[in-house]
Amino acid sequence: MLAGLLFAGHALATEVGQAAPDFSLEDLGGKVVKLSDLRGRVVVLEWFNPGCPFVRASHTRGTLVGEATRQISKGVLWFAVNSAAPGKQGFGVDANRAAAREYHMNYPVLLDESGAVGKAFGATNTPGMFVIDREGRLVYRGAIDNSPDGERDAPEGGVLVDYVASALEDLAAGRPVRYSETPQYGCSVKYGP
Amino acid sequence: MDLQPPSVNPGKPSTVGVRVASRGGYHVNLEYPMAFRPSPESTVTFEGSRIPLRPVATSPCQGHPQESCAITLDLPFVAPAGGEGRLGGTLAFSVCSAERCLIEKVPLFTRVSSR
Repeated sequence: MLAGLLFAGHALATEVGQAAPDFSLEDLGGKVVKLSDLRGRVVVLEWFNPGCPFVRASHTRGTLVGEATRQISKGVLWFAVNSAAPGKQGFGVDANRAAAREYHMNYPVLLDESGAVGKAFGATNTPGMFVIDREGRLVYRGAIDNSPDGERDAPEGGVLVDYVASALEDLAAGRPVRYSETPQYGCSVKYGP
Repeated sequence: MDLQPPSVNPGKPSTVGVRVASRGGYHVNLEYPMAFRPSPESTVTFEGSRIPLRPVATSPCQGHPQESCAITLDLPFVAPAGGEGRLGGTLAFSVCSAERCLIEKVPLFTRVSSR
């Protein structure tokens, strides 16, 4: 069903506040991860592409450095998702495995080669971030932070905001997510034609 | 990328134009926060260690008018009151094609003269 969706920006993507679209994707080792099996846990999805310089910047000098490890230690489930189509930048197990190693990503990278999951979530850029609450609702879609250079050097308004950490804090405190949607920045997701 | 002749006011705010032109199917990524970081070797004065820059002029890409293939940035500095000065540092910008984006950090250097 998901593969039949047409993509036009966010035209048919899930709205923030609604149930996150279920999916079954394989990680780099072929293990299947099904989102609905994770109900009851807070889940972060990080749209990822090993060839994207903004992903590299965030993982080496920016907000993603150590971020997942900190959140995972608090019980959050964190997954990277790569929606690059065959032949596109960042496609393939080997490239993703090498980058995951380089960036010390101690969480699964899921491969969404058809792009159906990315389109259902409204992923437009890498790194693009999505937070799903324990009830399976999408509560955040957007950037990792408000510094679109990926290096925390250019925070809009002069103060760095880590949108994902902020959303997770709000969920933990039982309050509404303050920043529920922000513009994604970075490289375009390398969907197929 | 090239530098235009600086507009120098001795001891006062001045500017130098920086033109960035993409090629090979790339366009300038206007969503990237372009900035200049002065180097310690600069003898002109800047306001801060990181100077955010916005294009003052853009030129569309041939065949893709919604994208910019050349931009001009005005880099502000304070010229020395007398004699020559050195302006140097790194310009950060980004270009993208349909297949990929690049983040570029390019050294810039020019001499300025208040005479």
